[in-house]
Amino acid sequence: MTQGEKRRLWVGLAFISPWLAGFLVFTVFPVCASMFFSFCDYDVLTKPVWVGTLNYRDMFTDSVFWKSLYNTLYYAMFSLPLGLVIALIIAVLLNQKLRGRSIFRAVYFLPSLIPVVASAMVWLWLLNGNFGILNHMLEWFHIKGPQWITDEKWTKPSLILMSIWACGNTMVIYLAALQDVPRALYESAEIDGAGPWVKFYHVTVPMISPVIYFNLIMGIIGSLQVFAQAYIMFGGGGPNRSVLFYVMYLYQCAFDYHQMGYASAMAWILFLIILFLTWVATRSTRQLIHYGGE
Amino acid sequence: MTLQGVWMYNFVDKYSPQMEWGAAPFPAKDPRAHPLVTIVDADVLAIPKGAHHPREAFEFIRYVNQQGPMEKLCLGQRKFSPLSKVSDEFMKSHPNPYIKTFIELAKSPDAQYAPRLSIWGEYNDEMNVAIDRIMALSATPQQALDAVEGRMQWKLDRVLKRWDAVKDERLKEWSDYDPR
Repeated sequence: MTQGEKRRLWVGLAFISPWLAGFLVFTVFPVCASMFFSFCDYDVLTKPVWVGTLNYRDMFTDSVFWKSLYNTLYYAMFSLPLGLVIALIIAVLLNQKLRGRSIFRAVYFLPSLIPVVASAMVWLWLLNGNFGILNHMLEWFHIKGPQWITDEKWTKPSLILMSIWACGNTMVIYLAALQDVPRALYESAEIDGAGPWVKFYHVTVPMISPVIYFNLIMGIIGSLQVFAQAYIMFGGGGPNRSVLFYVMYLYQCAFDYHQMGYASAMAWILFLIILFLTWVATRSTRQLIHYGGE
Repeated sequence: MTLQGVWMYNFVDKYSPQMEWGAAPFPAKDPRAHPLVTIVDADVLAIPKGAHHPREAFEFIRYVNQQGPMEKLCLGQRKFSPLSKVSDEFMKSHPNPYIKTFIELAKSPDAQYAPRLSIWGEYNDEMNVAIDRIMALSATPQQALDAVEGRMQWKLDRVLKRWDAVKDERLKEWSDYDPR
């Protein structure tokens, strides 16, 4: 490295040093600390004491841990595919040449901009079993709506419904990808006699497959870390812990029960679960994704 | 039915004064032997360490704990007085129509206070889950309480196992602790 290159390196490092310092202090250090704490008995107030793999072994016999994991996987299993499909349908519709298209786009994206606390409070009222507007609307069709918030059978579907409502971010990414699909491909398909479904299946889907894959991965990560809305609406995990999600239980262990070591171990297990599911998703979709340069 | 305390009247009066309601002791397993089972709790006045005016604060606490001022405070908060002597005037002018029920409950030998244990919060969470299950008819009281017992036993076993692993370090840490 020449003298000039060295100087440029130091200047560059000096410029990025605020970010670098933040990254080291607020990301690298907590990650390393949580790894260490996961092998300790640690309540935040006293010093951590090494207990080996005790926290990890405790998880296997903790029934609430398994319940929270089940709740989270159940939520992810429904909210993720439904969210991906519905966001894609909305994006395709909003990609058509409609009057007032930009207004529709803004309206569908709006839920993603609403603060999560505000939307959770509104949903609490919408889903109220006795006075909520949702059950009121169901009554128009002579359907007796369930107790969405207080019946443990309906709490998870309520949150899945809410997650679909806020699919604006996914929709916008799809929309950007749809606008990138070359018109020439559709014209060629039309010349060959392809109808709308065939064009969608054989042109649109392959062309936006990298974006579908991106949304899938982000969706896996996001849905397994679901926390804010459920915590605001249900606090302790809802009736019979039916919506005690993994991260909610982790938070409860860390900040309510002061079991920071156990919570750290849970965080690392969640990381491994996400890593595994991301790997599975990547492996299983490898043949289905078409990149432009390939 | 809701499991609530004397304060609930304030909300009824504020938000739904026309509501017809009544207050009764919690259902007990053996109502003949233990008719007035309840959990007692109290507000506490304390002088924190480092307070600028501890003498004046203590004087205020002394004042509040006299019968007259205490009744005035409790009437304002619509609670009952924690003092053993209560004036007839207090009982007559109290707005809560069931105040006598709450006083009887608080004076009952079956009134228990929540144990001051670090694990009480977790116990309370388990009890809340049990109450939810009973209220939703998804478990009988016996089943729900058995589940609480099982869960708390698991927690106790876990704490003991953990203590075995850390006691040497913790005892050393505590013996090194100098309160000065």
